[in-house]
Amino acid sequence: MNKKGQYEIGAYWAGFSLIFSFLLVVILLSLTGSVVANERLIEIEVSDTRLNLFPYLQTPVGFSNGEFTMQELLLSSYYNGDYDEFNKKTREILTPLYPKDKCTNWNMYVVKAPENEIINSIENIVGINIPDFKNLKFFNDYRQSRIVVPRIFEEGQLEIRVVELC
Amino acid sequence: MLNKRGMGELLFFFAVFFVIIGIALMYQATIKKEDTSRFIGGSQVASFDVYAESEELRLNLQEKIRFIAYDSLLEYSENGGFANGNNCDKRGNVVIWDFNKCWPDLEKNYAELVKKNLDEQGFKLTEQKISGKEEVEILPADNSYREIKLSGNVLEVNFGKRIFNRKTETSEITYERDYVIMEEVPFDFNKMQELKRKLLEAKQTGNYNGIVEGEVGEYIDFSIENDKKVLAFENSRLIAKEPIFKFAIKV
Repeated sequence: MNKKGQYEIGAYWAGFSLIFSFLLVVILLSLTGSVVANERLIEIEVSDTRLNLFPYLQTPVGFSNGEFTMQELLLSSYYNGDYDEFNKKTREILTPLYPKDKCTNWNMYVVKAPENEIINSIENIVGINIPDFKNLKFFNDYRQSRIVVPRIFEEGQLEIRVVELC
Repeated sequence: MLNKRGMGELLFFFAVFFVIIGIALMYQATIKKEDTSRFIGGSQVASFDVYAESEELRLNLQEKIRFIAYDSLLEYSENGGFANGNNCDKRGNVVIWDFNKCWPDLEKNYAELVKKNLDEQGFKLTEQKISGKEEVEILPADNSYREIKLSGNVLEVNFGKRIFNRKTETSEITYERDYVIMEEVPFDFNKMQELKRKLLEAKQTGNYNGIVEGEVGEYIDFSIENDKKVLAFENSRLIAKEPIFKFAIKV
């Protein structure tokens, strides 16, 4: 190969490298920008689900031949140690809401706080191993929302945690 | 005059230059986009959080007041419109209404019973300080309230104002909210006032027709069932109970 040939091959490689690095930078930069925006959107969606838990707790339900709310049913289930009715009514309320936007399914956990002990769970999404909820907010495709209710007749709270698969 | 090679090098130089400029512009644009999206989203998320926190407090207060209203109603009904430990005469365990000694002010007694139960739950009545002619706004602590009112069968507990704050990277959100919790008490105070009025009239005329059926003995026992159940905490369990308003009168 003569000098001209070597020069042309070098120029091609240099040009190709330039274009490749330009495209790489463009892709990386666009990804960085969208990650921040996506995290904000997810946070807003999580807040939205949390706000939806307020009317859920105030939904009127009948049990023990009386008219009460889901929050009272939760307390009744906690003190009486029987969550069957609570789980049944929760499924009746939440199941028709899914799929919701990008979220296809949900789990609900009732957690005793501050002990952080799961005392009841409704699991539609199987295979979630949740030893600790702290980092679940942006863990894979799971989103977590929570609401706290007082136990009224003793110290501490009950946390309702909804995990959505989105 | 440049030869072919010189032209190529010049073009290559321009290409490198434009690529560098392009990357720099893209970087700046991305940083701006990132900042903008973070700032907008940050304020929205903080607003949601502040509102959710305030709503959670309202829900908690509402539930506490509901159970206090239930407890008070059960005690009130068992004692014919009085609290436990009242000084009225009793027939069995039923309170005897006596015009001279034990004639209940139904609404006032219920409100006082609620106040007693609020105290037992750790809520304290706060005083509003008056400075000159202007009322000084004192922000109450979490366990304080300002006023209890009973209007008809609606119990109203005023917890005053609470302020919620959130700081974001670009702003500070302050949300003030007044907490007046309204709870419907499943008891017809108006109907009971009407019964009290009729009993007074009957006492004066000696005619109990329309109030009781059949022969009237020395005492008349009243047992008024409530069609709405309330939840009662008994033996570490929550059970649904119908409050039964019981009292007797001496004819």
